[in-house]
Amino acid sequence: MKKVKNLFSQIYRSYLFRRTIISFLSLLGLSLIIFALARVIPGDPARMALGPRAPEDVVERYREMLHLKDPLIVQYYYWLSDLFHGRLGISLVTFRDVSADILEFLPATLELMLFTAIIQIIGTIILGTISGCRPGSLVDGALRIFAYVGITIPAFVWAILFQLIFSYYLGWLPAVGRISEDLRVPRVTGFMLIDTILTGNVRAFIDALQHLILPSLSLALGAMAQEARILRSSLVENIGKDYVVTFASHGIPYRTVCFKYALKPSLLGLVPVMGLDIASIIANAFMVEMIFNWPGVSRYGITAMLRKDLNAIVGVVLVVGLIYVIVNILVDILIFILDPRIRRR
Amino acid sequence: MSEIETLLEVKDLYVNYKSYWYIYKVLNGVSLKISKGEKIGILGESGAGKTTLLKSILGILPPQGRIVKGDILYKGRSLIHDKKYLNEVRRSSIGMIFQDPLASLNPVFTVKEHLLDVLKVVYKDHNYKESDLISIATELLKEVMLPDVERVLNSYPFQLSGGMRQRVVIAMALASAKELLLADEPTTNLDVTIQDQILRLIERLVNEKNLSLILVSHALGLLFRMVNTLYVMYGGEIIEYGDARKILKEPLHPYTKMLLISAPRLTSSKIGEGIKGNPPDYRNPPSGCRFHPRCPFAMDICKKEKPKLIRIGPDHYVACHLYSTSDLEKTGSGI
Ligand SMILES: Nc1ncnc2c1ncn2[C@@H]1O[C@H](COP(=O)(O)OP(=O)(O)OP(=O)(O)O)[C@@H](O)[C@H]1O
Ligand SMILES: [Mg+2]
Repeated sequence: MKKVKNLFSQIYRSYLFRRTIISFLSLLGLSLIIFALARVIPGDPARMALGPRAPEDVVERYREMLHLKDPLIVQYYYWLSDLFHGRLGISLVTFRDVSADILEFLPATLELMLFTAIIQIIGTIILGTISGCRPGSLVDGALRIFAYVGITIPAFVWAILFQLIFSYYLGWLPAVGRISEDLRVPRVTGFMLIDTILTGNVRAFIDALQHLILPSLSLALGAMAQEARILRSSLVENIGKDYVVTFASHGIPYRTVCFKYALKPSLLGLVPVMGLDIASIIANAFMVEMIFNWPGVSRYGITAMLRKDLNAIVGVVLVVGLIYVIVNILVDILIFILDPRIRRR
Repeated sequence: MSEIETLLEVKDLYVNYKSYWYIYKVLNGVSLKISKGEKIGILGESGAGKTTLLKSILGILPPQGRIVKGDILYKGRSLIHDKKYLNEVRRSSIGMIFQDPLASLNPVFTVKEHLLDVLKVVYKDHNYKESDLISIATELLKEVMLPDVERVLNSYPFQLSGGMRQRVVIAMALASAKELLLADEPTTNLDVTIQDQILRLIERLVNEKNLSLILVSHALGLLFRMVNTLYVMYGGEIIEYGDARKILKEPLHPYTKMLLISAPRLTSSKIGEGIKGNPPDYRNPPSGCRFHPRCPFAMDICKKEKPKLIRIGPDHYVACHLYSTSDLEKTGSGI
């Protein structure tokens, strides 16, 4: 317990504190870009925000509300404070508060992202370790081919392929949506897997899981192939190093030597790459959510872009940016835990 | 050698390294023998294959390395063909000190984790509790004269100085080296002032524990003092071996002569820079005697025929065509 507490105080004091400040600064930078997108670029933000059919006096009142007559810096201040209070304006498509829309759609996307990330991490570690510890083996050869294929084929192509093969032809898994039509799951957290458990509906849980498999697999595959190759080559490199070999020289079994002493230092280089990949799941998810008709934020964002729904676009970009920043902080924490050279500075 | 029990025998060993494009034929028929209680030294310039030889013995060549021919026997049983026996020997008979102390401890594990995991396999038949193992680890660290053992145990390698790290490496090697210690240039990359301390420490421990020793070192003084038999390696071959003092005083092979002349006498600094020419290209090694392109006495036969190790005097062997002819006295004292 004391150890844990010490760890946290260390985190706070040094490395993580610095990293958090950096993240905060990058968020600030992001907000400037979004502000430019929302206020500076469009000719008349109020008109853009309300749409072409809104009457002039309403638009005029909206201009007042947005402080459009004030200097930019003042506008930025008001805009930022609105942002902090979750006032993102009204969506032109749904005619609802954008923040309410996002709150509704975000859990579906987050669930997809998290599930994808889990598949990606587990797959990377299993494939990378097996082929790295046994270079030249059958698994290793298979991974090499899989990696080339995985890197060249984008996620949305996998999505279409999987949908065709596993839903239409084989009929093993559902093709679209988060849950079957006939199942009603009351919304608690918005995470289908959690909500089904909370309401004790096992059948719905399994159903939701089945719906998750294809979209997350198609999102995970490319990055997984690439990461497994990275892990593999850094394992192969580490296995020849004296600081790994020394354990073999004491008669410790090869499996332990590879899975422990070679794997841990190999993970150090992998974690940042993995973090970036996981953060960019949301970018790939735009297409995949469309294909699987997944009611998530990405699909909402695409619709917003097609309809020039400015407020909604701002909201979605903000969410994407936030996810990047949060994942980065998580990566930093993970590296902090894995690498004593950072932890004990 | 005599009636004394042979501990380790390397028989006609060939080792290749494979890269994407090339095959490096490094060890080219190396044989070596060490009896119980014997201490042997290996001398040779950088790239001669000394580390390759030691790593082959413990079966820890990097993935690119392959033993293609020959055998390694420990107490008469093959380490190459009997993996179970190899692991047994690794656990409780042979220990190795690696060349570069800065690179032989795992950066992401503490000293304690290193030692405990090693001790766990070394004493796996003893049913020791963790606290027992910790006290063994503490004992080991005290034996290598590390101060503040408690702190060292909980440190990561990067928090220790080079000398401290090498002491930890020695402690780890001692955990398994119940009979034979392999020390591969144990002071490379260390501060000159510490080199001597480390060598003395190894010397003392080997004598105290009555270990057999294979020492790769350029510290001629130490070799002279400590080692019974000296092997001189060039280009993946043993080109001269025998009584250490005799070889150090009256070397026969042209390479050994040049090596010893170029060495700052009886110091521990590195040698090998002083000889003209480059070590052989292992992808396409010279025919005949691998040293002939650099040898001032090279004859026709040297390009064609690989010289065999022949006995010159009691306990003195050399592989050189200069000595296979009868008039060796004339040419032999040329340098
Ligand atoms: N993994 C590898 N792949 C290819 N070649 C290798 C590999 N490891 C070693 N070699 C080559 O084998 C030869 C012998 O290397 P080795 O490390 O055994 O020499 P050494 O006598 O220990 O030298 P040093 O005194 O520098 O430690 C060198 O030419 C080296 O380049
Ligand atoms: Mg070496």
